[in-house]
Amino acid sequence: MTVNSTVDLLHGLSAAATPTNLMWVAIGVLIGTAIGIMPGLGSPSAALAILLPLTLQLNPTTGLIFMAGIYHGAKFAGSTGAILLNIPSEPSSVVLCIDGHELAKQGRAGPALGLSVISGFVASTLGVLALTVAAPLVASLAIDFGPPEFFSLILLGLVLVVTMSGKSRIKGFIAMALGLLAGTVGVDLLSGQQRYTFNSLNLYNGIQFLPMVLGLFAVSEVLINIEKSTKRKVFPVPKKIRDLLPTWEDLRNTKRAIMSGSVVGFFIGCLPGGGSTIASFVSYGVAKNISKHPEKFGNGSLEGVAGPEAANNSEVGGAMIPLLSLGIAGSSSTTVMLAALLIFGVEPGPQLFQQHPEIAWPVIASLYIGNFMLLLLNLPLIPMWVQLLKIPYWILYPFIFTMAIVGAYSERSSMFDVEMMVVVGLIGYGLRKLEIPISPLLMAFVLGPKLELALRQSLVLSDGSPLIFLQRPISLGVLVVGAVAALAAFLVKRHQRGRTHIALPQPSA
Amino acid sequence: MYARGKHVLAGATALLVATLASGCGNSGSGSDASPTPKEFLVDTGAGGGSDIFAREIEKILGDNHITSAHWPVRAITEGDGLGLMAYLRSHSGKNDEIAAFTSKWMVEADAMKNAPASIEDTTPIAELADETQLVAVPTSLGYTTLKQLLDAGRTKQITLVGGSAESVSTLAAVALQQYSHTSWKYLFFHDNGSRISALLRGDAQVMVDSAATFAPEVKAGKLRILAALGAKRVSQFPDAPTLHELGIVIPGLPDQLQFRGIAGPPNMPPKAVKYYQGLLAKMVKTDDWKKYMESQGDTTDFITGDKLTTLLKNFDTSMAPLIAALPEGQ
Repeated sequence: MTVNSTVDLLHGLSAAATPTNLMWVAIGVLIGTAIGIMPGLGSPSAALAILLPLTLQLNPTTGLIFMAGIYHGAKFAGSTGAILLNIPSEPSSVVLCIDGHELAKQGRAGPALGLSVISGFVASTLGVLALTVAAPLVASLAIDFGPPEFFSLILLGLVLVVTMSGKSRIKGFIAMALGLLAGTVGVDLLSGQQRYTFNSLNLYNGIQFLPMVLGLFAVSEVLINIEKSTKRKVFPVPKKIRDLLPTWEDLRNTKRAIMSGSVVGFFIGCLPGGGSTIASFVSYGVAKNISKHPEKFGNGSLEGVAGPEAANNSEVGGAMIPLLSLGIAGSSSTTVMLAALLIFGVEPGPQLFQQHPEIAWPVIASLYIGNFMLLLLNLPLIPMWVQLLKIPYWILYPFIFTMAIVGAYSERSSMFDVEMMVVVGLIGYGLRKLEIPISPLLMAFVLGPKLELALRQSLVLSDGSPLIFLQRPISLGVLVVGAVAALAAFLVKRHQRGRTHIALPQPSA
Repeated sequence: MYARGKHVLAGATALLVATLASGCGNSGSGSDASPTPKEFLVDTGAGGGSDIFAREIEKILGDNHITSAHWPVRAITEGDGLGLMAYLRSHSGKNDEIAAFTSKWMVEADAMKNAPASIEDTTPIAELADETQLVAVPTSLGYTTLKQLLDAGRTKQITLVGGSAESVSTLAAVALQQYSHTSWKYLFFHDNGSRISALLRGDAQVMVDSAATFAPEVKAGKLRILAALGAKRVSQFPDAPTLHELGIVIPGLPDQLQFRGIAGPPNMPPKAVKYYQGLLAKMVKTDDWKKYMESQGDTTDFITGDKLTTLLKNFDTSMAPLIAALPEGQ
């Protein structure tokens, strides 16, 4: 950290830490958390959009500080629904459903939530520190990430989807294929042609994420559980407070996942078009590959929660870099922030730090402050959130279903989306009865269109030659890392299978 | 029996809520009297071009006490501009809903076979702003005039980066290629950030868009504006000449490529149209509006009535041959 940026940051902290601004950060964090927990309404960009009219009533510095609080709060809260209810509120929370919800089933919802809060706090802090120190360097790296690099990164993410397919690889591939197919619906950006829209305006922009995720997770979950008795409690809930929070051993065992997730999330977050979705998927795979117990992933591994949640939160600092340094909004959330900046009359970009340091540095400082607010707010509330699991099914599931309907409708004010959600829910119910995993389907649905677009953009650049993926150094590097990781995972699995065979008791003579 | 009762309760609750939710979005009825807009509709999500435009209008009207009514902005993003036009058509005769339209709506409708809606399914109330399109290149390429860029296209491959096949900026680029007898490659991204990154990275050599898109990078010296595709120079970039000043005449290419205005549902009562026009006429005279236009590099162009109808018709006619020449048609 240079002396100048340290001094600027301290000035920024003093400007952000006024009673008024502290109040608005706290309000932003509270509201962001409250909205972020709602299935269907919980994405940070939705929370920011909903509160944009209120934000614009404030002065620019306070308004942006308020937005930073909302962004943080919504990010943190997204994990709660995923872990407790198996309902992700945004794409980046999908990964948490895999191990987080398994932990909840095992009576460890509290430690899972606690770890997501703590790993998020650590990662956010590291992300904001990196933003303060390395913004110009990282900004230029972000520019160098083009279609071939994105293709390689997303391909890495999709390969990881296959490793998450559970016991049956074939069923995982079926799920992935369905997800890829669903992702093709809509008007193609490059050719303008309509694909599987059946000439319906409702499908012009493709199948939306919210109806898909709410259908696959919320509706199918309700349908699956309607078959079972409603008298039982949802999951076992420990009574002692210390069992509702992670232990020191849990924190020790997950520190590698937290650090790797922080790094992955920050770098991917700063890529225009990157975003927390890819960051969380990739960090899950990285955490699994470097873990001492990769066999636990998918069956309730705390590292499977800590890694993606760290990536999800350090992405906050990363996403600010293209926004503040280049005036480029890299995600839907920063697009809303950019809109606020423009309406406030502040032009983000390379000149922002010179022309408006009184806005840039307090916003960065507010991210630090927001972090502490989140820790203070969310950690003590965990025992309360876990009590949700004691609510009987016959109360909980109509509530979930209601929120799902509201969420599906709210994005585009469209009843079609509600209908789509119900249809997808029925399909999801069928898939779950056939034991076909739905997480790979959703991940392929999210990543597939991005992969296809990156592939076609790359082939435009190379006039059809696939060698472009090997000729661009960053793309080649990512492919090599992916290949090494896949090979390492294969060798480790083979080694473990070999040890299992040796350990099996020999039949007596 | 108790368990079954709970199932019934749960199912009934869900059904009730679903029924209530299906009532969401139903608009109320309006009257011929001075209306209070229930919603200010836009076809982009929060932070999109039309969203910002609508919020600025609402803010300026309020700050300048032109109206005390609050115009809440609501996004109807399903189907983009086509979807919003279809929505307006379904609310024929109402006076309490208005929408921020752009010229892109007409291009979308013309580019699609059997488009479900068109601008004729709305009541255009007023055009407000001309968002002059600019041709930008990275400064690292060394081009200082549009002619250099067009000449370079004859000897090497130029790649244009843009938003979609039928965007106004792509059509303008088609016109430039036809004029210079060259053929460019097209690289499309969903968002402006990725497009600017592609330009800075060197994956593309040219981009056509508005002043607000390029301003940060031009001020940082990374991009240069070669030309303004309109009748007048843009205030933010006064050194960028127009096509007319460069002696480049492209028959049929309208001076206004990207413009913004306000429209209502079809068969909107004339009194309501006059009412909104009155408010907007006051708005465009305020200092806040002029400041907003200047910050965006746009020009105020307040056009209503028959003149507006003629403008829209001429735009449609001009764009037709360019749409037909798109790289891969629909």
